[in-house]
Amino acid sequence: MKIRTIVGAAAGMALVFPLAGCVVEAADPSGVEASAGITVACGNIEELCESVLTEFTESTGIPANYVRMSGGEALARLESTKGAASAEFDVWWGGPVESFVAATEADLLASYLSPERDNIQESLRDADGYWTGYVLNPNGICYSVSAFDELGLDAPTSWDTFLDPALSKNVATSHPATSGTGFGFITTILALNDNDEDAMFDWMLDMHPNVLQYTQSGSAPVQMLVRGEVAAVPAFASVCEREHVVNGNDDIAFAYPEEGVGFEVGGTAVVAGASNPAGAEAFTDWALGQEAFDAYVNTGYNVFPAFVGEGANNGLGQTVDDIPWLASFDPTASEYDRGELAERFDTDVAPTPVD
Amino acid sequence: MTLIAEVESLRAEIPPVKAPQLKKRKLDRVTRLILIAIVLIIAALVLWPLYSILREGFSAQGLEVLGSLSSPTTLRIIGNTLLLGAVVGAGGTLVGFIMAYAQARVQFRGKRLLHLIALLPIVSPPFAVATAFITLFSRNGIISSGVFGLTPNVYGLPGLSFVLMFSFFPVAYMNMLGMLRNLDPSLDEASASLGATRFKTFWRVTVPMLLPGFAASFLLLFVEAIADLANPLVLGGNFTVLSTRAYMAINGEFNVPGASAYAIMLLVPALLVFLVQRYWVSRTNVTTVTGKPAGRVSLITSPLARIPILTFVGLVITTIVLIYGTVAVGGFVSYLGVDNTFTLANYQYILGGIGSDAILTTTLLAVVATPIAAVIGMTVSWLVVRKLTKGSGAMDFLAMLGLAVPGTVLGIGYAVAYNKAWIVGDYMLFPALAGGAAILGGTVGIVMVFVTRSLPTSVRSGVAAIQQISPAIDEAATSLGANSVTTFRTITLPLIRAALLTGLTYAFARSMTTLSPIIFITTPQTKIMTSQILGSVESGKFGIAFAYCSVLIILVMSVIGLISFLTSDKFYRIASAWRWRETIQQPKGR
Amino acid sequence: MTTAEMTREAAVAEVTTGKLVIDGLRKVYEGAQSALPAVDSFSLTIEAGEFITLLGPSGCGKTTTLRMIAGFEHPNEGSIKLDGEDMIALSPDRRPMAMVFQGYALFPHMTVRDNVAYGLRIKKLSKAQIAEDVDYTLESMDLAHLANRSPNQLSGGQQQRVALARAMVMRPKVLLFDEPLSNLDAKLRVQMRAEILRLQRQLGITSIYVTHDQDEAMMLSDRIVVMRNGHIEQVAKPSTIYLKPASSFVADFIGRANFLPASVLTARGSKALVRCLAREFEVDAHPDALSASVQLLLVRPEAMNVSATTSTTVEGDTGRILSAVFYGPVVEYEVETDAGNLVVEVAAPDVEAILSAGDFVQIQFDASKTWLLPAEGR
Repeated sequence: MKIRTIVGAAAGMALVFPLAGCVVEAADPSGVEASAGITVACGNIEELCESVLTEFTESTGIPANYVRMSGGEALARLESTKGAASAEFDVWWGGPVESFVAATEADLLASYLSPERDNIQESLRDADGYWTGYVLNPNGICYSVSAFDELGLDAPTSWDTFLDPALSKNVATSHPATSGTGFGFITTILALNDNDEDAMFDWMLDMHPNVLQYTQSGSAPVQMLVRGEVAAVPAFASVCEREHVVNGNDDIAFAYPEEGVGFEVGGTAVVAGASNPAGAEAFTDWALGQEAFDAYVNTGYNVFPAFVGEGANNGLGQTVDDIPWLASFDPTASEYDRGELAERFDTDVAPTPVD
Repeated sequence: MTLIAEVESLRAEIPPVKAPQLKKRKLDRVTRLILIAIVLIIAALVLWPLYSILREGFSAQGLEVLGSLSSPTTLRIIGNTLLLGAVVGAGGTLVGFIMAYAQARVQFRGKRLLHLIALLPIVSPPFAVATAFITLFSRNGIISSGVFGLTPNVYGLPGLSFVLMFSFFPVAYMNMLGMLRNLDPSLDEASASLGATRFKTFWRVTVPMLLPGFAASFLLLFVEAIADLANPLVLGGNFTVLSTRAYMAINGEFNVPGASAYAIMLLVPALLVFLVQRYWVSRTNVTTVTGKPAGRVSLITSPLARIPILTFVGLVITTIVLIYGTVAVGGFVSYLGVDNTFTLANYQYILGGIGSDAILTTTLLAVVATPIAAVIGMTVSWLVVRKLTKGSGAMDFLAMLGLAVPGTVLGIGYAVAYNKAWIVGDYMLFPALAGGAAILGGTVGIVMVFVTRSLPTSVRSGVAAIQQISPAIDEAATSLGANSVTTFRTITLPLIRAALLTGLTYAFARSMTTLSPIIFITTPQTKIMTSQILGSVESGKFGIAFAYCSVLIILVMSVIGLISFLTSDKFYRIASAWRWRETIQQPKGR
Repeated sequence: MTTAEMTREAAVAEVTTGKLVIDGLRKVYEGAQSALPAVDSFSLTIEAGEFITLLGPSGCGKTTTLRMIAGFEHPNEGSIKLDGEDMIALSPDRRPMAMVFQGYALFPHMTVRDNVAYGLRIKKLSKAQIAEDVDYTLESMDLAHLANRSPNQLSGGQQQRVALARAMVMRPKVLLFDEPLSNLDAKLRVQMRAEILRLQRQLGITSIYVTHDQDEAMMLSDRIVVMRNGHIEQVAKPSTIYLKPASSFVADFIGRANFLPASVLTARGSKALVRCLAREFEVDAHPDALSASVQLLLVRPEAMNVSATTSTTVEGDTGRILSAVFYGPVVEYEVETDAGNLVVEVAAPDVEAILSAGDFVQIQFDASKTWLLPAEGR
């Protein structure tokens, strides 16, 4: 192999890359067939992305590609490619709706008034159709029965269990900056304190000595629980229940605190500038229906559907009415500045040195 | 793993005898063209992303973050970062040194085995160690709780520094081993003949001569530690460092300029250390005055010394075996430590569907990037050693930037620099290369990152190797009619085969195991293994993570083995004999 | 002129290409410690087929000059023309010259055969032609049985022969030698020297040889160029260099020399009547000597003799033995005289008659074997 050829090839590659000089086609999405396939920014757990989206493809014949990323990641991603000829994604599915609210404000989403939308509770959808909730997931206390036994504690019934000194270094939670679960937790406590931020942070500081680790990802605390590293974590019901429903781990139990629970709303939205809007819309329609919900539950995540009607239960025999929802809780967190709260959390709570 | 780490360890391996260098002539036309091409390539690979990060970081939003430099939170994070670097630097150097000393100076059987095992962490993907560590030593860990009944808290500085030390000590080991081997044994003998005990000799002769090695190792490991993203993500606990802060800024606060600002904060110590390493430490390289060490080393046999040293070595080896054993076993079990039922489900998952996709894609991209990095690296080394006079220092520096810059910083840089096409009017002058809107599924950006991270090692090993070649050899070729390029092709290249091999090996291993730059530019169409592993670990699917890690390790070792064979003497002789097959004459009897 | 010299001249006359004209070559290194040039005012015409040696102490510029001819250094001033063609404009790989290096510089990753074939392959000759040339050269240098070995399997002498073969197979117009034998032991050197000479005679290639070894220079060269501090001291046949050196430096550099202060009484043509050691002789003189203010008489040790004397003072031509060393073929005396300490070499000595330290002797020498030089300003 002549060195000249190698160098020439390498240089050539570097220069030839760009289909240089080609005219930018203003991507014409209207011409794209729905069946061309969609790309989904998937805020749900990988498994769910895989199973539900496969179900979607089987049901509608539209191929779906996805990238799993958290709400914050997706927001950042959409933000960074804003204005590009065609958006990376067609649909943003899953993940807490507060990111959707932020995205709407940043003009990253497209409005779509799906016919299925009418089935969804009003409080769980965007008035202008930029996003629509499809599942509800209450939070609460996920704990290890055996650990509580060993510690001589009764089954938890209140959020204040997390403040119990007996649980020193035996609690884990995710960081609100990077995790929807973590953010949902602090906004729940916030709501419980009548939106008094200082009171909420004091509560968090009280909990701090008990916290073994603030994890980046929302699903990590439950895993730490499963591994026996901690005794109790705040978590969303479906994630916690999953451990004994799917993995047969009877040591893990879930309790709804009496004061009331917050919840996350899984939402779906069409991305502005999608290259396949027809496909995105078809997906939205499907995602708001019973089939999608069943697929969700069948993957082992027992959430509540956002649509109203008979049989709106979580597959574990519990209906929406069985849960002590916190009335003042706003799942869109539109009243809170997430960035600010997260930062204050970082400043006030996370770095506080313990022992 | 990266940085001048392997670089220096390679340099340490090669004895410091340098052939007298040519005074260089003016460049001929072809060489000049090559030089320009190389500069352009490096500019695209490193300079442009760096510039983009600086631009973002100093924008309005970024300045806000930079302005917070003096706030307690930020100061604490910076403090954490530097502390972590210092602890890992010191600890890793110490461990590496003891291991190297044992290998070079202590009598025991199984040296070869020790060497191989000590190098295992080099081919290991990120998270492998951290995940195994959690499984073994955390609250409910198999060893900590199961064997010792302890419930340590592994999250935060202690666990993190342990894992980082463990992951990087082989670099210090290689470095110190090379230095120890280059020490002149007659110094020890001289010291003994002057009446010093071995112990005194050790402290008064050996250690002072190795000080530059200690310093170099410390600095290398320092930078590795502060640049790491994977392990702090998994094990950091409340211990936030700059890399995780930058990551959070992008993922949590959707603040790219802010992340760029944190990246700049991280860049400063990294570059500082790089400069110190380059211009100060390496200048004080003292091994022997005469060049080649003479005589043989007498190995230590006294139990007083052997027992503590070998006990320590034994502990380290045991830990390594435990950790990688855990990785190997963990892939075959549902959830090691929690549910130990044997299962093939993990491997089924990764070898079919998404998993295999990731494996194939990552391997393919690494295979594409590796020879590119090797070629560019060899060309740069040739330019630096043989062709450039005033520019050689600058060219060398440029080539090293790819590793001097922390992975996180580079990743953010690529995301900012290359995720949008360059459009003027209606014409797309240059497409996006990284991120979802990129051509070819963003693989170009990923290959570029791989090349950027592998290039420095390639250059360093190439430079060291070419310096070993007497310039008279080049001149002999020239006097026989070979021009620059022909000389490079027929003489220099074959002679630096060993260096080429090392470069290829590291390039491949690095590309397969890198996470921090990649994580910011993964795309829907392109699944990268390390990114998948992170996802698995975060969602607690340790079994899958272990299976991935095992596959990764096996892959890397196989390719290394293949490369090793292709560039071996054996293969070369076979190829050469094939070329001469028509004209070989029977040697006349004598 | 000796028979040997006559034979050499005849051989040289037959070759027609390879005439090198060097004019005013000058090389200054930038940032060098001294401001003096490495080579200055170097001018020389080398006839086709001639064997020239550049001789001098280290640092005299001989290697630099060689490298400028080869093209590895670029002169600041001056010209180099080979058969009328300007060489300086050509890069070293384009000049029709081949170089043999001090360390042999064999390509370690190639066999002997591949090494020798290298240059021919670059010329893109046909495989058959290459094979033929290579085999012929290997045969004639007694290397055929080593053809498939790699350089690290060869002895020093064998490696040197391969280096030689590699250069010669190219049939260059000029062969350049950069101290090729200095890495060999004494006996091997002598053998290789003869080999090199034989080949050069046979092929008649113009050769430029750099060495600091005088014996080598004397044996191999048609002409020797003695260099010092970047300048040419003298260019002449070996016998001339030895018997009629142009300066005391040259005289001292080649062989051993005694310099006796002498005063010129009268001069006639190229001869002078001088007074030395209280005696008067007629001696041959270097042209510059007669116009110089101070002269020295060069007398080689082997041209001197001593005999016992009854005188007991050191004056005039009487001296005293300081040391006597028996070397075998000669005995060497160091003698104190009022003109300084002299070295006297007496050949085939009668062992019984060897004088001892402390003996007084009369110094004798053959005036026809002396040479008058200008004394150099120190």
